[in-house]
Order: sequence, then structure tokens, then C-alpha cells
Amino acid sequence: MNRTRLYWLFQILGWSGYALINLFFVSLDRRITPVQIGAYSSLAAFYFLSTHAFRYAIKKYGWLNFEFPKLLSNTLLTLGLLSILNTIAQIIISWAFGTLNPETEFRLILISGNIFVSFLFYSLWSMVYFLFHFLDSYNQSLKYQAKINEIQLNHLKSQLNPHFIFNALNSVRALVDEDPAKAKLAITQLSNILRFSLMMDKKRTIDFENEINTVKDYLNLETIRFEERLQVKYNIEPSAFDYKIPPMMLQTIVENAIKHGISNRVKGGLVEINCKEGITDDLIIQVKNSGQLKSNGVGRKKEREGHGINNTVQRLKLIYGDRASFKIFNSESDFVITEIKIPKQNPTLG
Amino acid sequence: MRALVIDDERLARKELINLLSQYDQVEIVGEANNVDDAKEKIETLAPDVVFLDIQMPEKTGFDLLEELDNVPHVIFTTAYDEYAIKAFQVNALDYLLKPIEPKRLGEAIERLLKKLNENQDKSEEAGAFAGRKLTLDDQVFVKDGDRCWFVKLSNVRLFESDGNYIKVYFDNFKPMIHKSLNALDERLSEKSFFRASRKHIINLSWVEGIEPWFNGGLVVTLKGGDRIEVSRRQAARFKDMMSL
Repeated sequence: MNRTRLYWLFQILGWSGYALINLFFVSLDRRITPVQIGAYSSLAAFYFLSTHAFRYAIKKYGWLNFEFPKLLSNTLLTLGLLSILNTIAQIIISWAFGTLNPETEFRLILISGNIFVSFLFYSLWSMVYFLFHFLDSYNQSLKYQAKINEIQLNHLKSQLNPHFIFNALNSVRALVDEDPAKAKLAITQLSNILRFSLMMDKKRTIDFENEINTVKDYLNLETIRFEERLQVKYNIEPSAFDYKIPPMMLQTIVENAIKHGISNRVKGGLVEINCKEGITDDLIIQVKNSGQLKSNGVGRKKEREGHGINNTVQRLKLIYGDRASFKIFNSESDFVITEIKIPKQNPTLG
Repeated sequence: MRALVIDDERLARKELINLLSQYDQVEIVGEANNVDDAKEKIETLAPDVVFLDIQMPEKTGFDLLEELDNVPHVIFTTAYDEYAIKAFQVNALDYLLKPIEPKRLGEAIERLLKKLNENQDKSEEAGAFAGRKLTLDDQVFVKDGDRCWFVKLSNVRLFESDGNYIKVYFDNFKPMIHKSLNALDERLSEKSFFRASRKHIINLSWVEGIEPWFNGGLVVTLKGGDRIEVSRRQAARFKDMMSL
């Protein structure tokens, strides 16, 4: 429902309810007279108008943006002022309906009693009003945060490297003459990868099995391209298949391993994938490739790679919070290991 | 037309050689699978054209061109490289995208044959490829950051040394190449280029005006307005060369 309409509904129902309840209590005591109906309706109307004026002031001067102490003091001051005005209005109403009895009604105790009671009603109104706004804006900011997260995630999702696709197609073209059966297999594998990267795009996480199959297809294709320059090894524990992982994440890491471990090296090298369950119910995926990390690399290429690693780190953070981790480090003098740890629990919503 | 195929992937070389075998005018003189291998083969085999992959291990195709003193005609082959393609489009260098379309390959070969024939008519230096000096008709490969050019030497008006680099002045550009001015001077034909001073080599066909300067030196004005001082020692040689 529209927020303005909600306000009017509450305002009308609330204050007519106020009048009706008052009349109900009066009726328990004695019979209701038209004068009483008129008087209580007028009073309810005054509450209605004065709170509406209060709301107008809140909106016009942007009270909701005030710091809390300022908001509190302003509100208390206004409530006091409204209560006094309300008490004066009550006297005027009594007078107008001819029920004013100066001797009883101008007693200090009765006036301060009236001020106190109307103060309570105004406080109740303000509490409802402000509480609604705070809850509403809290919800809005949560929704906003979730939206932002989703946009960021989409932005960070990795795509298949086009360089790979065209190089693979080029090798397949040569294979058609050399080894038609192998060429057919390569076409199937390439379509598997393309289908996977198109379909998995929208999902936050997928079954480990889907991802590892794609990676295997990918590495098979790269083996056709690099021939004896690429060695591939897998050590995958069966328990790994119980996990879900973000799509294309392992794929991206393996692509980087190929780029640095194989395609940048004349002699090529090794890519090894190790997946095992950790002690704290998490999946540890390690990709080991030939080569060494250089710490002080400069130039455009290096920046782009740093960007890729950053993307992976941010994706893990957005999906799993602090429960996932990413590491990349040199292993001995001729290997680099990239390691991600993924928790078993469901990814956080958000 | 003698061609050398340079690519780190055997299947990619095979595919290209297979496509080229349909052209009688093209003779494959060799294959290379990395930059160092390619450099050696270019120097010994002296091909008319190289089909050059850009992304290769350790050194790229661009690195190869920068290392070569004498650059043969080049047709780049690449699978997908946004940066490289952008660089080509600016300079209209010839490139083929892998997998290579036979029709595009045919067009590239035709264009190249035309160019080779023109060159042959102009100068009779065919065969004397290695060790020959660079004349105004030769091209040099220049790369600066993201951009690269094949510049005809006749368009280069000035070389200026700057530390370990040389600034190459042509059109509105002055990219840097990593070379010493002395080494460059030895490669350039004396008929067309003149070492004006320790810092400068000028293209003689760009000279517009000559004025005497202090201490018996000269100041040469090039078309376009650059003014270059000729040292006293070189000024004497310059006068000798320019007088009848």
C-alpha cells in the first residue's frame, strides 16, 4: 500500500477510534447525549488536525534526518506545546457546547491532568509515526544492500576467455584433417563449455560436479592446443561432490594457471587440481601450476591479472562473508598454488 | 614469395600452412615456434613475409619485431586480442583472425604480392636483403604502449636520442624505441639520413632551410618547423654533402 494512503487510514481510524472508545466509556456511566458526541468528535478532530500539522512540520523541516538527540528534544518540546494547545482546545470545546464549569475545570490539578493525558496521546502517536519510519527505512536499506550485492556479483562473474574459444576452434580446424574422431570430441567438449558458461551465469552456486566437468573439458581442449607442453593431474576426493561452489570460479583459476604455467612458458608445464575436505566442514580446492609469482610486476597486463584475483576474492566475500578464503603463493621454487576454501553451509542470503 | 610461419602451437601452424598450400605463389621456407627461433630463421632464411602470432610464450610477436633490424613484410595472426586489433586498425596493418577465413587470407596475399612487385620495380636490391642499409622506402616497426606503427622511413623527419631511447618523429607522433642513436646511424643509408649532432639524425628530404649559427655551426629547419642544430664538426661534412 502507498505510504501516504496508509498514513491517512491510520490517522482516520485512530482518531475516530479515540472518539468512539471515549464515548463507550462514558456510556458505561450514563447515557450518551448529543452534546457528548459533538464534544468528543470535536476533540478527536482537534487531535487529528494537530497531529497532521505536526507531521507537516516533520516532513517540511526534514526531522527524520536529524541526529537522534536533536530529534528527541524537538519532539518532546512539540509534544509539550501540543498538549497545552490541546488542553486549551478542550476548554474552548466545553465552552462551545455549554458544558464549561469554571469552578471545577479551572482547578490546577484538572488542567495538569488534561495536559498529561493529551501528552500521552501525542506521545503514542509520535511513537507509532517514528517507529514506522525507522522500520521502513531499515527495510529499504536492507533491500538496497541486497540489490547492490547482486549487482556487484553479476559484475564480478567471470566469463569465458574469448581468446581461448577462438584458439580452440582454430586447433579443431586443423584436427579435422589430422584426427577426425578427436576433432568431433573436441567440438562436443567446446559446446559443453559454452553451454555451461551461458546457463550457469545466473546462479550464485552450483554443484561441484558441474564445475569440475567443465574444467575437465576445458583442460582437454587446452591439451589439444598445447600438446606435450601441458600435463594435467587430478586428485579429487569423493566428498568434494557434496559441495556447492560459485560457477566459473575454479574455471577462471585454471585458465590463469594455463596462462602463466603453460602458455607463457616455452617448455610448458604442469596443472594439478587437488580437491579435499578440510577438518571444519569446508572444501579446499588447490590449483597448482608451473611458474613463480613475481611480486614486483609492472605494466598493463599485471594490473588486469590483479583485477581477476580481486574479483574472485570479492565474489567469495559477497557470497560467503568471512567463511571462505582465497590464497595464492609460491610452492617450492617452480610452482604456484592458488587455493580457495569454501564452507559447506548454505551461502548467506543477501 | 617466401614465407615463414611463426606460431607456438603446432596445430595452428599446420592449419595455416595447409591454407597457404593452395597458393602457388607462396613458398613456405620454414616454421618457428617462439621469438628466438623466429629471429634466427628470419636472419638466415630472409623470408619476404612472416605470418606472425602475437601471443607466444615469454616474448610476443611485437617483441620480435622490435628486436629485428630488418623487418620483412608482416601479416599478423591472432585469435582474439582487443588491444592488438585496436592497434592494427589505427595503422591499417594486415592481420588475420584465427580461425583464418580463406577469403581473407587470399586478399592479404594479393595485397602483399602487389606491394612486393612495386618494391622490386623501384629498386633492384632483391636478394641483398641482409646487411643492406635502410632507405626511404623501408619500413620500421615502432611500438609505444598500446599503439604500434609500421612507418615508412620517408615519413620520419627526425630521430632524437633521449637516454637509452630514441624518439621517432613522424606525422604528429613521436614514439620511443629502445636503441642507441649510434647503432641506428649505422643502419641508415647516408644518402637519405644525416647525423646532425650527438643527439639528432635528420631526414635530408625534409630539410627546408639552412642558416649559419655560432662557432661555425648550422641550424637546419625541417618541414613542419622543427629546428635542429648541426654541430661544428658535422656542419663541415654537411656542407660537403650538400654542395655540388
